[in-house]
Amino acid sequence: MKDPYSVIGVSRNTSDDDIKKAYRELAKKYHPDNYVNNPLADLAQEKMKEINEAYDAILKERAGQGASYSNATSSSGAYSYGRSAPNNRIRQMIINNNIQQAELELNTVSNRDAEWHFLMGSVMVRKGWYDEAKRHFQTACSMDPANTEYRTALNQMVGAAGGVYQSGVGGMNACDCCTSLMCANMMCDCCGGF
Amino acid sequence: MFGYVRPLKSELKIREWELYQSAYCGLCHALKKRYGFISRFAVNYDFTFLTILLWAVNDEAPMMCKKNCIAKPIRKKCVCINSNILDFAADASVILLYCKLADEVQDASFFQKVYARLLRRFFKSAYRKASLRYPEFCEYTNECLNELKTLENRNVSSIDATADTFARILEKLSEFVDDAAKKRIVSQILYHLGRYIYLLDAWDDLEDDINSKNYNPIVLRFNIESALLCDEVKNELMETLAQSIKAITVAYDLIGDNKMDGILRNILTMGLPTIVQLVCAGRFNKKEKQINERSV
Repeated sequence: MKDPYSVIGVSRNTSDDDIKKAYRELAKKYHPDNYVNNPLADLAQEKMKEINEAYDAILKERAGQGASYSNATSSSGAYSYGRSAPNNRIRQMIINNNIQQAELELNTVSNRDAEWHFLMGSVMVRKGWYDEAKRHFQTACSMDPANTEYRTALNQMVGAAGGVYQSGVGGMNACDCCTSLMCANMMCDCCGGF
Repeated sequence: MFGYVRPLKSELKIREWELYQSAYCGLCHALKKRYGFISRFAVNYDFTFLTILLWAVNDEAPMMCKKNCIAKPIRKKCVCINSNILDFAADASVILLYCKLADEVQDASFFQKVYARLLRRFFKSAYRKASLRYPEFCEYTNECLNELKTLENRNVSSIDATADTFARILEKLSEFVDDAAKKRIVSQILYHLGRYIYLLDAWDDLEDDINSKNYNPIVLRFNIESALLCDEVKNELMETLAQSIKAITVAYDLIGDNKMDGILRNILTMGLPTIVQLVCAGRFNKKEKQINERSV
């Protein structure tokens, strides 16, 4: 196994609190919720397992304080069962990342109800066709407004913008303010101290 | 090439900015070494990003040396050399540029067509050489662009279907990576980078395409009549681009710590979003040498 300290990204001298902080940052980064409907979800799961094992090893070495989030599973990734056997089969294909086959089967279905649109939306998300996915989820929600599974899926397709676009990158901070004042002061002295 | 994949210079450490410049200069020199003087015009920011990403994935620290610069002949510049990743990026740049010019020869205005035809003639022998080195990539690029042409001729209104044809071209470049897990990660990064580039380019070209009545998937998808977009459409476009940027970033997170992390994270979390905001505000200038926060 790799050195647990390097997996967490800390040195052997790091305090318990800092190790906990570093672990929490990594857990936040690789949490299954960030990889819902993502073709790389299995790689993220492996990474999360590696991090949990490393953290548990460090804690054991430092004599048992707390534990990792070993039971972290995706809060919204699990598929509830659909009403029909063909749809369950398609859901399983999506879970197993067998996207091409899932799409082919969905295209042969003539009854395009809310669940069909939800499943097609899920296929589109895995393919990276986010606009199509959003439209399918919107249709599913409008056909079956009470369904929380469809509503959750739609909510995941909105709101990425908030986390991605941050206003005021750089800009003034306390250091800039101080430095500017110091420079202004120096200039004033050079010019005879007004 | 497209110029939508760039760092936010003001947020880079000086050594990171210098490394980025050395990579860009390295690409220019690799093009000159492999394809001759004229091919230097194929140097671009997009494949500089690709180079740095592959260095990170392969844990490679590029060699540097001082070389003369044709654009700034007074002082020698620090250039990355002897990297087969740079050579690969040079080959891919030539192939993609030649194919893109073929597209412009058909679609553009009269003077743009003449310019594109001229450039294409200059690049023909370079393209032939590159296609011998990577015949499969060459064939695949042409296939995807033909597919795109078919979708355009059918006036398809799906922005995803059209973006997909271009995204798959970039995705194909992930075959350079040997390790199976890393190949999947790079494949996801490059697919969504391709989608981001295609959609942002379509957004940037909206006014020209509307005036010249050229195909533009965004016009058809949102039933646009004027280049002055309403807030609802702007928000939809920003959201769908954000989804791709997020997909790239969470995929990149799986690579883990690497020597190029500072530059790559700057490009993905600051450069790309800033450029989207500039295009949204109609203030993105491809010819501008640097993007810094004063531009937004």
